[in-house]
Amino acid sequence: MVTVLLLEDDPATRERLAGIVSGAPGLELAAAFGELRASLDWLAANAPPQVLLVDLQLPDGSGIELIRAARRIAPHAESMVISVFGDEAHVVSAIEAGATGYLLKDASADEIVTAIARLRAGESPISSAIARHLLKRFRLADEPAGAAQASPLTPRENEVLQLIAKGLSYQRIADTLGMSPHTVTTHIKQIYRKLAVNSRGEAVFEAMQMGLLPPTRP
Amino acid sequence: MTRTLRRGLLLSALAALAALPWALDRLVDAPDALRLGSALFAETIDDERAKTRTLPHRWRTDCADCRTAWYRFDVEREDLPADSQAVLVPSQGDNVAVYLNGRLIGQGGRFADPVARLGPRPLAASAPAALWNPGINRLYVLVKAGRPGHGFLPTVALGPEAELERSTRLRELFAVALPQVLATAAAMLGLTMGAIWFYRRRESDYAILAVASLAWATYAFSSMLIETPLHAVLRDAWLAAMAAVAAAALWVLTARLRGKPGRSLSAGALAAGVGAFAAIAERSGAGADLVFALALGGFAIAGLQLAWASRSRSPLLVCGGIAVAAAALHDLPGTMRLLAPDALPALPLAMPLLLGLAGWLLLLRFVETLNAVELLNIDLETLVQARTAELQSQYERVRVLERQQTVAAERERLMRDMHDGVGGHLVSMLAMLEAGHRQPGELATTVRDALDDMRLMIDSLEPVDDDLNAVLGMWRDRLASRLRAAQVDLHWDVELLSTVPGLTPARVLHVLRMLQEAVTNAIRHGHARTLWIGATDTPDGVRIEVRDDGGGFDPQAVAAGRGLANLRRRAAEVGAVLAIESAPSRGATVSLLLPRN
Repeated sequence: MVTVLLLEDDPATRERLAGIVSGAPGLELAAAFGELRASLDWLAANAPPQVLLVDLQLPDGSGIELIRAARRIAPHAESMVISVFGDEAHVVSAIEAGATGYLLKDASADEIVTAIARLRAGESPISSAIARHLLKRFRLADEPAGAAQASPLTPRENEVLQLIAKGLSYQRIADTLGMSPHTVTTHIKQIYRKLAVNSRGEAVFEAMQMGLLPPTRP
Repeated sequence: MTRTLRRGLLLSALAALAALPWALDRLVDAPDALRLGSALFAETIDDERAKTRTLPHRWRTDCADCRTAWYRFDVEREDLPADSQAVLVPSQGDNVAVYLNGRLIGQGGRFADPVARLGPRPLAASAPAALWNPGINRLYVLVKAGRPGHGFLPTVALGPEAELERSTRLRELFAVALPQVLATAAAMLGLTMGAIWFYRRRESDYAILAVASLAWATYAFSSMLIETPLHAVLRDAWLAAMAAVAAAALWVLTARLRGKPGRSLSAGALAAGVGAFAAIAERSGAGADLVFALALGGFAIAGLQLAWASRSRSPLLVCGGIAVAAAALHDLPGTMRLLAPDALPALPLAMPLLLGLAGWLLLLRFVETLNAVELLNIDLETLVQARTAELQSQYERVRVLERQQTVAAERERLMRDMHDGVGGHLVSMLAMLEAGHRQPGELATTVRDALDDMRLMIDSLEPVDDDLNAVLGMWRDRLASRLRAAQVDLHWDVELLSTVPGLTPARVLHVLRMLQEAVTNAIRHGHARTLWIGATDTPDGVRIEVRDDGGGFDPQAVAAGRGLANLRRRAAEVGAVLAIESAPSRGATVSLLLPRN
């Protein structure tokens, strides 16, 4: 069973999400909180959960603190931001703290369960907005005055990432770059792999140092 | 120190300076007791017609056409002298030889033409004790002149060698060594000033000083040459011309100091030119003498004027002017052959001094100008800084105003967009609730629509850098979960598009809402199962197309519908061309052409 910790201050949303997690086979709700303090206390006193669903704006602080604490205590726990809009600013700041994906608050029960399962399986489809953001980070890293580290991606992977940011389908990307769709998938997996290296535990910190942003798993 | 006292001191210093040339003469003279007061003068040796002449003696009318003459001294001795004796001829003019009892004991230089010209150099002839006889001893001095009638003999001194040595050495120092050093210095000064003028052509003071210094140095060096191939007359003319140029330049410099440069410049140049020409053209040498005398007069007057002109500005220049004037006056009689030339030439000592002082002052002025410029620069910098700060604050004000305006405009736009989107959805939700709607599904749809619209608004605020691909990419991610929930297949066929200039958040939102509207219509009203969304570059702009396999509709029949009206309004607002193709049960195609301007 995958244990899930839920932190969401809106009672109705919390109830809805708690119900979805409890009702899903293979998932177990470890605890649900409406306040940051209580969730931190619980995390300190109990066995760490495998997945955390965290709202960022809470009455007594930011959910980012819980994500940080979880990463410290249990590096293998996966944190997902629960967001109304999935807008870049929110997701990116959470990713910087160690989150590995985000959920829209109005997502259907199916979508939520699927997303958690995919996250556990290490699968991460990449959104064009996040791809754009990654490219921006890499560009900064490539500038001489920026970080010392250059982009970890090969020129080809960089091209693929650019086309994803432009919202092209895999088929179209393959046509544009003169390769088979299968090769595109391989490249994307490779990008994930490289980004995933930097997305776990303390590696996130290093990634931040070199201007590389860890991937998201929406 | 009171002013009177200071003035008194200055005046006495000047008086001392003015008397210095004559004092110098006294200093270098041999002791009076050793000077021989007179001699027997004749054109040939032991001429019966020899006449007694007092020394110093110029030939002039005594021997107007001679080029050689003999002076005989009968020196009576009762016994042989104990020490070695010497005969000192203080200056030689052209050339001198000394004989004692028929033996040559001293000679200046070459006697054949062109005759050596020894000028102010002293000749000290050693007369060893062995050459003397008890009784009458015959001492002859042979004088050779370059030009007829131009010979002379200064006061000859005879005495123990040791007693005459001081006078000899001092004469060598003041008449030969020091003038050489000073002439070299004047030449260097002239070259330096010339170089400065070369790089600062507008400041002719440097040029004038350079001319004065170089002309003087040329004069001084030329006068020091002992043997030249030039004929004596030509040589005198050359010397006179150089002296005239130097005097004229000094004259001009003085006039500039007095603030009357124009007239004196031409007058000085004219005088120097005429003088030099006259000196060289006139063959007998009298012209050269006259020009030289005039040049000396010029030095004297220029020196006095210079002293007067700079009396309130520079005590140093006053001293220099007085020194030159005194030196010129001192040298004038000797040059004009009015008096005997026992005197030590003083101008070669005074003139370089004045030139050096003038150079020093010009240099000071140069440095002062530099300092002033530096100060000016600092002032200017401060001024520029102040102006920059002022501009900055003005720019800041403008920027604040602009920002306020931008914020206000953006706020207005967001209000309108919310009114169009979320606001409308909320109102209809309220209406549904108040009407006691019992179908939660329909309410949820409206809520999802509201959320979707909010997300479009948020996406539209992303900076996309005119990249329509980025906009469509974001929309695709939003769309995917909705279509999955509605079990609609999506065929996404967007190619790489060129940038669309002016893709502002407002335009992006309009485009996104139009596309969303087309998709919503296809699913809700057309019950489509498959959607084809594509975008291509065309010569006119970017064409975006949303096609479905739904029930379709008759565009004419539903033209008045709210959804289509909205599409048209938005298309008009972003300047896009909207085309809707549909027919009942044939699906629908909504295409949007975004012109690239």
